[in-house]
Amino acid sequence: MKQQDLDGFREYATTRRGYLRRTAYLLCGDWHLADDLVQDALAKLYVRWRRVRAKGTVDSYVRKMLVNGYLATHRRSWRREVSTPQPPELAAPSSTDDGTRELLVRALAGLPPSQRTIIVLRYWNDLSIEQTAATLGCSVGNVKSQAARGLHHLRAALDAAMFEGVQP
Amino acid sequence: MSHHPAGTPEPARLRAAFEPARLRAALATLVADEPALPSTVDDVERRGRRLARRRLTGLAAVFLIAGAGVTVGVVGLTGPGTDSGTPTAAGVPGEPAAEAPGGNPAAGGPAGAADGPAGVSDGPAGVPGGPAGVPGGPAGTGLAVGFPVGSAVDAVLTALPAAVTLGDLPMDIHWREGGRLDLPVTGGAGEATLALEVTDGGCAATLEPAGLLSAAELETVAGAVCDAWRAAGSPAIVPGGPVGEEQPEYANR
Repeated sequence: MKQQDLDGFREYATTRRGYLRRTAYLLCGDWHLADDLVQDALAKLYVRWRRVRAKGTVDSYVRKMLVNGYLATHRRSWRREVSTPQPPELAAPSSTDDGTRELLVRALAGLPPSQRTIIVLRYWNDLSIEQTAATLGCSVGNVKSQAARGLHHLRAALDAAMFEGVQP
Repeated sequence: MSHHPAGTPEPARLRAAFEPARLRAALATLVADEPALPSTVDDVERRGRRLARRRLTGLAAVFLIAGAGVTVGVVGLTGPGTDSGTPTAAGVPGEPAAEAPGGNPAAGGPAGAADGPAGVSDGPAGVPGGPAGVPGGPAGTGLAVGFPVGSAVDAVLTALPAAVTLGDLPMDIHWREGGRLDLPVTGGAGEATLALEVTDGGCAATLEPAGLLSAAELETVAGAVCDAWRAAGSPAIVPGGPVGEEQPEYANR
């Protein structure tokens, strides 16, 4: 890679790494895996940097690599989540957290990967329905229906949590 | 009227948090406690370089397979191999012990031992005597026989000392006549070309210009390549490479 290209790549990676990492965390819910996903996506970008930058599609390319990487981890059997009798270690709620955070973590974790991806792309990355469909390589109608189902699941999880909260 | 115990979120506020318009703020709370980044951009770059190198090696292997298939086919058509110092492709006519992997076992005898002056029969594809090393006869294609460049490259990678690594592999990397393979290596002292030579008699590694690797390290590299070659069953070294400057014209087929 030429020095000029290398400088461009380094600048992009430096400025966007944090944002990509937060997106990856919202997708997978694990900071370690999020780091891995971001490194993978940026390494792929490194290989095709000149071509992707020339097309002006750097953000969408790296986002696609990130999403593909996340969805691939769910397809690999050795990386599938394993049910345990005790809930995994959770971060202690901060003093300002009234419980919303933990509820949201659980609600997101309960979503199927595709719905979770769409929720994150639509409501965290602020992508349009068309951009989300392009990232996932699916139809606009599919994104709409999956987003609606995802929100429905989140609300259902909320109702269930509240129901548990009012039990005597 | 429902009550909610202390510590549980207030329902109306929660419902609002799950509304699309406010979901972003809710998601932001999840990443508020983001830990420090464990890696640097240098790590990403290194990973990218490794990935690029792997892809190049894969591409080179594809070229080699295609090139070796054509080369071996040409050898089979033009006559027996005469290079006795270097292992040649299995199944080349004139090597009575060799058997082409695509030969028909039911027909018996080694491939290339069939009738016909150059080991090519007029029979259907797949019969013994088809171009050596190309299973399925003249009309077929198959995996090239021989020691893969990728295996040799992997062996070198594992044997090189920490301060020295492989440089960017050329697109047309391939085994040369005499079982020779040239690999670029880089290290603190600069760049050099590592020349491997794999023959029946053993393996050798030399460096041009010298300096990056000591004699003992070169011996280690040669030993690793030899081990890999033996582990692969001491296959033939098939000289090959891109056939021409341009890709074949698939569209006209």
